Amino acid sequence: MDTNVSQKVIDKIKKERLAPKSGWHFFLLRAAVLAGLSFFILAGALSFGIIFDIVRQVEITRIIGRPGGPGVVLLSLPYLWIIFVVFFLVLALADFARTRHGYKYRLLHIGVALFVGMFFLGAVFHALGYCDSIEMYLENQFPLYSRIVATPQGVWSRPSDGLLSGMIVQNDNVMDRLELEDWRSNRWDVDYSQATIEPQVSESLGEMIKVIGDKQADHNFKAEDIRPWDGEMMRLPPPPDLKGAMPPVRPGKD
Amino acid sequence: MVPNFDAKNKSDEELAGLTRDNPDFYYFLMERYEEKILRYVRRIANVSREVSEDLVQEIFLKAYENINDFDETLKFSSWLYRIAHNHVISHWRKYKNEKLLSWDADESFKNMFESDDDLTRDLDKKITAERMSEVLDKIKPAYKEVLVLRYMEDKDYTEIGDILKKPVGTIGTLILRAKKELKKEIESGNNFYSK
Repeated sequence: MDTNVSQKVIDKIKKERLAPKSGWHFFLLRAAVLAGLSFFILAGALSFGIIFDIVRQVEITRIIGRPGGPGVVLLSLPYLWIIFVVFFLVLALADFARTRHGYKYRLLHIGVALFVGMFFLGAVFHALGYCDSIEMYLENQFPLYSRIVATPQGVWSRPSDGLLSGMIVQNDNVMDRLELEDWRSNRWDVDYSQATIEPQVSESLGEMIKVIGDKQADHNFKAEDIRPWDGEMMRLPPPPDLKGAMPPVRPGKD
Repeated sequence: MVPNFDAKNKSDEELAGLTRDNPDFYYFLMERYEEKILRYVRRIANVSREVSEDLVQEIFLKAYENINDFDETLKFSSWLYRIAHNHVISHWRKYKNEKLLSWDADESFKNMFESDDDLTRDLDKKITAERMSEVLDKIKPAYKEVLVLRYMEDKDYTEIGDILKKPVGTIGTLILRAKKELKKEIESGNNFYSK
């Protein structure tokens, strides 16, 4: 060899007293990448969980088959959280590719695996009720949130589309009529003489319910189906202070 | 230098481990790879011998500084080639307007003709090393590099994947496309000469 690059490098290392970067330096860099990856997966899973929460409360399957239902569903999809899922998925994907062995896997495979992982973790968070608490916190603390995201209250406040919800404030079992106070404190006279009432609905005062049916006239509604607002997970306390307990609602078209 | 040390019996990975405590052991590692890395850099970077020697020096220094990041699940050679690949790319970015030179041609590209596939079977096996280097310089740099690694540096798909940080399946696809492009380029050159 006429160049002897090796000797030059050794001479430079000794002359300038160069030393390898410490193992800790690389350990911390790798740990930061893994911490970022874990955070993005958790954030994506929570976003998924909130989507599940909204979709469950909105009961899309009940709405979609009704006249004008597809339009209502399209407007009520939780787009903000869908964007968050995509955003965190992309960040997690980029972070995974930066891990030591991340390059060995195809991006598509990693993307699918991360998506499935976030989906199931989101389902677990949703089942544990974490997402419900986060969403309720956002609704109560940030009024803007309810304007950006189509909340279940907003979706179920469309009497012209046959969707009404709120609290039972009076119930006449003889006439099969009840008085319902919606999320904007309007009172509705609901005729449920020909309605199917889900077994979970106790028809007691203060109970939160959803009503599917037809708007007859001003504040008169003929019910076809009466459902519990949130199954067993009642989100709001019963009266007396109805207005104070109501979360903000995105203005509907009625 | 380390007196009475027989580096021949030590693997690259063992020498890398010893280098962490004493830079003198690094000399044996560099000695093993100096010629190979110099040749690789010349083949992919299209720079003069002097520039490539400077690049190799920087590559060895970078490898030394990062020796504690050496992933022992990889071959040391793959790790070193990866550093060389990244350093050449940084050099390209830094000196975008630098005039590229043709590289030293050698006969190692003929390994390509020994692979049994339709693409290489039909190639003109009388092609000269000089003509091959010209053709390789005309195809996309990513294609050229993958062919250099496979047929001139004699790396397998896993090693190439580790060097370029790509999945093994992608390497297979890249090599296939590179050969197609190479064949097209050789054929278009032949037509040109026959006119």
